[in-house]
Amino acid sequence: MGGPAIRYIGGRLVQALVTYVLFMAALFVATRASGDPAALILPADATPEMFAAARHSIGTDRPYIEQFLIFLRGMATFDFGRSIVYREPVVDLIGPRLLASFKLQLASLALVVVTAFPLGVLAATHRGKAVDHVARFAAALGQAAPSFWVGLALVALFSVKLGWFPAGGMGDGGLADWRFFVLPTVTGSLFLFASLVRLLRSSMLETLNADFVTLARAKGAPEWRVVWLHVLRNALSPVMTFMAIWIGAAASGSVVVEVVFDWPGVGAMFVDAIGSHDFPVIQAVVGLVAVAVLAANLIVDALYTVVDPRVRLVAEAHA
Amino acid sequence: MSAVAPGAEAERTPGSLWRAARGLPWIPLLIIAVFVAFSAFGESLAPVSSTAQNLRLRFLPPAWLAGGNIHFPLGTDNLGRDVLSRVVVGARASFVVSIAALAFGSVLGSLIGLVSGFYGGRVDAFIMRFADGMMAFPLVLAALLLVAVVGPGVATVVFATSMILWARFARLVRGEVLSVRERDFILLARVAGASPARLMFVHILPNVLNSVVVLLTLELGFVIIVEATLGFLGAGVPPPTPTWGQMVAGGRTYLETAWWISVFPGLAIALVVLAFNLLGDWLRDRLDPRLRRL
Repeated sequence: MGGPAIRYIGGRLVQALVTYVLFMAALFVATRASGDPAALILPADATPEMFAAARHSIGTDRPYIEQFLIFLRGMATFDFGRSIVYREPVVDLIGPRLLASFKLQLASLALVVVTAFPLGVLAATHRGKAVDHVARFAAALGQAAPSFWVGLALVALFSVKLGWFPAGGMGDGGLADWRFFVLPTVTGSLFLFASLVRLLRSSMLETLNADFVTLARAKGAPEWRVVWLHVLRNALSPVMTFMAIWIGAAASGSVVVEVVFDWPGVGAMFVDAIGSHDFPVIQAVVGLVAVAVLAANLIVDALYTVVDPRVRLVAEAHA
Repeated sequence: MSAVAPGAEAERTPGSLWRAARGLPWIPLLIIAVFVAFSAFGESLAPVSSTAQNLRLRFLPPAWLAGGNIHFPLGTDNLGRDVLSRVVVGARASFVVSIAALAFGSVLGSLIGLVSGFYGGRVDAFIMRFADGMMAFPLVLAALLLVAVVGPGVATVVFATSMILWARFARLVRGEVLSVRERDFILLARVAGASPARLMFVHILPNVLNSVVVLLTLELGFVIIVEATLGFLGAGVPPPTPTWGQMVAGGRTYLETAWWISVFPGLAIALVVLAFNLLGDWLRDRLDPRLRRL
């Protein structure tokens, strides 16, 4: 990776920044269009003078451009204002919840990596055999069953009937409370598991027929080496693109899973904030997710230039 | 037409029709047919009224369990309403929202992809980056935000879903246009003086429609899940219209005593989505095997 690749990634960085500002503009317009925030803070019988004072204190009496710049500055410095419902700085509210969501998503991702990778690869190398049928069946079910329903069904079976795992909450969130993690982790990873098995299987099948694989075999490389090194590495490109999209899917998924299992995370907080029109909280969550999504896309673009020589060449040609 | 080759005529024997019919994915097609029938004639097909409440018949278990009543095969809910009838009637919301969102999203996305791929250049690059951003942005978050801003309703759900869907169609169509654009017949049409609009809609569009049809089928299941998820979170089609997502959410409180209120509507969602996914896979393998990655 030389100068051209760095310039290529730099270009992508600029594009990401422009996209971010556009996103924030859309968010700004959307939240301002939904009504006067002063009306949400003040009691129903507030006088016009109280409205004017409230508008002045939250800054909605300034020109829109100035408001937008202040809004952008707040977003960039993690100053999201105060929650209208809890009357506390949003940063303080969101911190511990972000950690709770992150723990759950990390557990789900770990479960997916441990299960989907071996299953996807084995399904491709044993095409038409029992393991392939199991993998395809599991993937079809995982993509079809809505996760909120799977979560409730798991609760009905494993919490209510068998009493093995708690039905909701996080406990202390430590390793000693691992029982709290089991059902939400399984529920949250199902869709990603199914998509990844399908994607990996088809991508591996395509790569297994490539010339360089035949060459590696002809050179006498052991079959496990061919499959797990040569083929898997080359089958990973679409998987990486998928992982960038996954950040978004994980955010959507965490909303559902956290609501089903009363998990004290950002997703559940977001649903509550929607219900109570708590716009500072809504803006903070959407803003953070936008940053995460854009960052993930950038990282995947950068990884491409490392993993896939073809992209490196394109990058150098464009730089 | 008179110019049909004799061989083509010979293929239309009853035996080959039977063979072609045997290859169809019958089980998914059957499930979809039932789903469509429920959506169209839900009220007439439901065994009893889906809204009739009978508080003396609350929490009846499914008919095959002890205490079940044969008139309520899948049991009753917390207000004594028949679960089976509500599942039947609830199909409509799923169907209408999904079809509307797909129609809107696919037409918009295909148009954008067509123009973007045809002209190329900076505008194309910008549109595709934007589409990437839209695809990556969490759909449920965007839909909830929209509900907070404009309020719940059928239009909100359709609009939110198609806002994400268009990007998938735009990406697909744009990629197809790039490969069709350089083919000889397009160059010939160009030389013959066809306008850009004519080139796009008469010459290129018919050649990318196959892929659009495949993607439509593949996305249907996804859209049904999205609609149900929004319904579950209370951001879908508002009551009193029964929807499957809403019904699963409604039964959540009674999970310990009356699991059937949540389980059966969810099972209906899973079955319909599975049927559409299987049909989509089958269509893709038939029409457009190159799309295996979708």
